[in-house]
Amino acid sequence: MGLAWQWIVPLISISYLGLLFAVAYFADSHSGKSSSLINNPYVYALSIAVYCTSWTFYGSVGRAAVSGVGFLPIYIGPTIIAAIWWPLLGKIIKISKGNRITSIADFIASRYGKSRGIAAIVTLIAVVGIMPYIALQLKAVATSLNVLVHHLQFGFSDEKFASPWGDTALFVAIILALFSIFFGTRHLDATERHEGMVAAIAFESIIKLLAFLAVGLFVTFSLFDGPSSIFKEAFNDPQLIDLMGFSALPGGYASWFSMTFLAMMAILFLPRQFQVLVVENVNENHIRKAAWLFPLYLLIINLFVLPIAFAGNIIFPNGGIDPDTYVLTLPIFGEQQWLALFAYIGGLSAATGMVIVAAIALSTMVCNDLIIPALLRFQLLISEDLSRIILNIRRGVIICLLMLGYLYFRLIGESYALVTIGLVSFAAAAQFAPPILFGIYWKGASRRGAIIGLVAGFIVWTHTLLLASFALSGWIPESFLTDGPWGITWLRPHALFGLDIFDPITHSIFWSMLVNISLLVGVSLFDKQTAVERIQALNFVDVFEQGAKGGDAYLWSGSVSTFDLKRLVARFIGPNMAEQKFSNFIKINRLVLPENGQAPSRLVAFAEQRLAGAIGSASARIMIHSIVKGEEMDLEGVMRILDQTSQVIEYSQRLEQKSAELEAATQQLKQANTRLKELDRMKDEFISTISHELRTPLTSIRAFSEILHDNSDLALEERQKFLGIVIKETERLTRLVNKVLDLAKLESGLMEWNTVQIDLIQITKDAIDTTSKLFEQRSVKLEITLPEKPIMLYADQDQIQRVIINLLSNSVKFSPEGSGLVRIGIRREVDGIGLEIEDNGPGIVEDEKIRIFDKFHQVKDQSGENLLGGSGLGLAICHRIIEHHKGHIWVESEPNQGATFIFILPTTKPKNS
Amino acid sequence: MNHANYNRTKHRLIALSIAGFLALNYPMLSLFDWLELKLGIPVLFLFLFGFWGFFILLTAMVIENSPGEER
Repeated sequence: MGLAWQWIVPLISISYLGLLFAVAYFADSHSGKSSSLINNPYVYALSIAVYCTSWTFYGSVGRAAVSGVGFLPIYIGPTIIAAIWWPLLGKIIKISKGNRITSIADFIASRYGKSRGIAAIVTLIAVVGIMPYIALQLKAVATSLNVLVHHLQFGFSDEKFASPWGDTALFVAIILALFSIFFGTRHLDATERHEGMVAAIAFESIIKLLAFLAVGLFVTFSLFDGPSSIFKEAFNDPQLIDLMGFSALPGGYASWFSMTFLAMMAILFLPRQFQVLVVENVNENHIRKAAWLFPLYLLIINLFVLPIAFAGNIIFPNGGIDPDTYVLTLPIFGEQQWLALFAYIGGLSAATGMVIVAAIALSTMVCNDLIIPALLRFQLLISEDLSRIILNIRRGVIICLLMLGYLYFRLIGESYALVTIGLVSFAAAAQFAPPILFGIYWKGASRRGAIIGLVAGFIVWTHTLLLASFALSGWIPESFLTDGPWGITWLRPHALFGLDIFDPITHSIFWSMLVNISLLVGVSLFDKQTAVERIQALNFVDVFEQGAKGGDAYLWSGSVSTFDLKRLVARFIGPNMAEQKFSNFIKINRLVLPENGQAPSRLVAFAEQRLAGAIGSASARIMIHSIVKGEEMDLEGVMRILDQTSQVIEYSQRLEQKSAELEAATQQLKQANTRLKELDRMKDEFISTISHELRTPLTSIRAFSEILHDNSDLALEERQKFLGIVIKETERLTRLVNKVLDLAKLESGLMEWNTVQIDLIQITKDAIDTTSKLFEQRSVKLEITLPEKPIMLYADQDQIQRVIINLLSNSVKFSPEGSGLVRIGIRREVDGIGLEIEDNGPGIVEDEKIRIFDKFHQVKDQSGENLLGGSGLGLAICHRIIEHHKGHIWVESEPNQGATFIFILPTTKPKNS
Repeated sequence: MNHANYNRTKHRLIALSIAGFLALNYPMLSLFDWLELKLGIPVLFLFLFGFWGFFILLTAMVIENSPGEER
C-alpha cells in the first residue's frame, strides 16, 4: 500500500466539511427569497433524515449482526407516527409559529405559563440526555477513521491496532465544534431559523444514503450473488440461522414494543428532531409529503442492512472484526479502497449532521433558558447591544457541549455498542412526550404537574440507565447494579421494586413513563393554574379555533413608552432590525400611538414575541417585565377583564339584536296600521254602499207592497206586474245577503269543501252556458278558445264554477253594450293551469289591481243600478276560493285597453285540505 | 379545504397508524417467526419490509388524495 492513507483520509474529511459549508453558505445567501433552496417538501423530508446518524450508518449493521431484526423498531416507530404527522405535528408547528418557539424547552415552557423554571429543567434533561448521543457520534467517527486507515494501511494482517494521531476522538470533537459554530452562529440577528444548516443537512442525507446503498449493492451483488445467496448460505450455518427469527432479539417482544414506542417519541421530541421538524419548518403543508417521503427514506437506507450484516458474519466468522465496522471493512476486504472511503464519508455525513443540529438546538436552549435568565437575575447584562454577546455565549456553549460529549465517551465509550448508547438518549427524550402531548390536547395540564412529572421521570431515567451505564463501565462499583445502592435490593437500577422481567431499556421506559404521566395528570387535577398558564393552555389547545389568540394582550396592564420598548428589543436583535419590525407591525395593524408616547398593550405583546424569538419566551417575559411600570395583572384581574369584556360584548350583541327586532316589529305595526285604516275606511264605504244597495230593493218592495195594500181595486194585470217587481227585488236582496254570508263563511273557515278530480274544460263550458243569457241581454260577443282534451284538476267543482261565472259576469258588466267582446281561453304557468278572461271595457288603473280583490272594495267608476256584483264582494270571494286551492288570481290591464282576469290552480293533488 | 374533509383524512390516518402499530407488534409478528426462506429471503424479513413498504404506500395514497392547504 503506497498511499499515505493517514494523511489522505483526514484531508478528504476536512475538504468534505468545507464542501458542506459551501452548500450552507449558498443556501443562506438565498434564504427568505422566493428562490429559497429549502422551501420545498423534499428538502424538508431530507432534513428530517438527520434522524439517521452514525448509529444508523454503522450501528444498524452491528445490531443486525448480533440480533437479526433488532435494529428495525427504531425505523418502524417513526414510520407509524409519521402517518399522523399532518394532524399532530401540524398542530405543534402552528402553535410554534404563533408563539415564536425556538426550541423544545421553549415550547414546553411557553405552554406552562412561560415559566423559567420548567425551561431550565427541560434544558438540563436535554443536555444530560443527549450527551451520550453526541459521545456516540464522536466514537463512531473516531473508530471509523481509525479502522479505515488501519485496514487500508495493513489489510487484515495482525498488525498492532493503534491510532496514528493519538486521541482521534478529541480532534474530531474540536473540529465538529468549530464546524457547528460556523453553521449555527454566523448571524448577528440571532433569530431562530438556519436555512444554510438545513440545506447542508439535506445534502448530507443524500450523501449518506448513496454511500450506504453503494456499499449494500457492492456487498450483495459483487461479493455475493444477490440477497438470496447470502441468506441461503447463512441458512445452513447453525449460528446464523437463529438471527432470522425473534429468538435472537434480547428482551423479545417487550423490547421490540418499547423500542418502537421510544422511536415514535424520539422522532418528534429529540431536541434536534424538534429543531428540523418544527423550528426550521418553512411551510406547514410540507408535512404532507414528508409524512411518507421520510419513511420511504428510512426503508431504502435499511434495505441492505440485513444482507450486509449476514455477509459480514459469513466473511468474518470468528468475531475478529467489530460488526459495527462491517460497512467499512467489507469494501476493503473486496479491495475497493475508494468505495470504503466513500462509505466513510457517508458515515461522517451521518455523524456531523447529528452533531451540528444537536449542538445548535442545545446551545439555543442552554443560552436562552439557563444562561440569559441567570445573567438577567444577577443584572450582568448592561451592554447596549447584546446580540453579539448572545452569539458568543452560544459559541461557548457549543464548545462545552462537544467537550462534555467527549468526556462521556472517555468515561464509558469503550464498553458499549453504538445502539445501546443511542437508546439511552432516546429514553431521555421520551420524557418530553407527556408534557407536550398532554399540553396540546388537555387544557388542564398545569405547570406544577409538568415539572413534577418531568423531574420524577428524569430521576428514574438517571437511576435506571445513566448511573447503571456508569456502573457497567466501572466508574461506580458494580455492586450498585447487583445489590442496589447502599445494598437496598428493591432499588437495583435494572430491577426497580423487583421488576426483573424486562430488558434495561424497557424497564426504564416503563417506570419513567409511569411516574411521568401519572404525576403530570395527578398533580394537574388538584392544581390551580395561574392566569398566564390558563391563557397559554387555551392558546395551545385551541390553536385552530378562530379567535383563540388574543388573550395575551391583556396581560400587560402597566405602562411603558414605545421608545423604551423599542430600545429593549434593539439590544437583542440590533437597532435597524428593531426599527423595521416595529414600524411594520404598527403599519400592518394600523395602530394609533397615543400622544404621550405610551405603548399600546398589543405592541408590548408584539415586542415580547420578538424578544422570545431571540432569547426564549421565559427570558423575554422577564425582560419586558423589567421595563413595564406597574404590576402585571394577577389571575383575578385578567380573568375579570376577560369575563367582563365577554359579558359586555354578549350584552351589547343581545341589545343590538333586540333593537333590530324592535325596529322590524315597528315596521310591521306601521304597515298593519295603514292596512287597518284602509280596511276601516273600506268598511265604512261598504256599509254606506250596502245600506244603499239594501235600501234600493227594500224601498221598491215597500213602495209596491203599500200600493197593493192601499189599492184593493187594482186591475189584475197591474197587480201581477207589481208583485213581479216585489219578487225580483226580493231575489236581489237574497243574493246580496247570501254573498255576505258566503264571505263570512270563507273568512271564518267554516266553508265545507268537496275536493274531487274535476275537468276544468267541462266546468268552464257549464259556466258559459249559465251566463249566456247575460251576454245576450247586453249583446256582448263571447270568443271561446278551449282545447278538446279534458284538463283534470283537484278542486271543489261548485266553487270553481262560481269563480268562472263571477269573472264572466264581471266582464260582461264592464264591456260596452253592443260592441263588447269577451275572450275566454286556457292559461298555462309553471306552477299550474287555469283560465284567462279578457274584456274590452274601461280597464283598471294600476292602483286598483290588487285592491279590487279586497272585500268591500268597489271599482271607483262603476255606476248603474243593475250591476249585480256592485256589492264589491264577488272578486273578494273569488280570491278566497282560489287561495284556498293554493292557486292565485290576478288582473292584467292597461287603462282603456280592457282587462284580463287570470286564475291559476296547481295541477298536483293537494294534501288533505 | 373544508373542515369535514380534513377530519376525514385525519381519521383515516389515525386508523392507519393504529393498524400499523398492531400489525408490527406481538402477537401479529409471532405469526411470521418461523425459520424458512421464501424467494431466498427469510419469511420474517420479507413480511417486515413488505408490510413497511405497503404501509408507506397507503399513507401516501391517503394524504395525496386529500385536498391540501388550510385546515
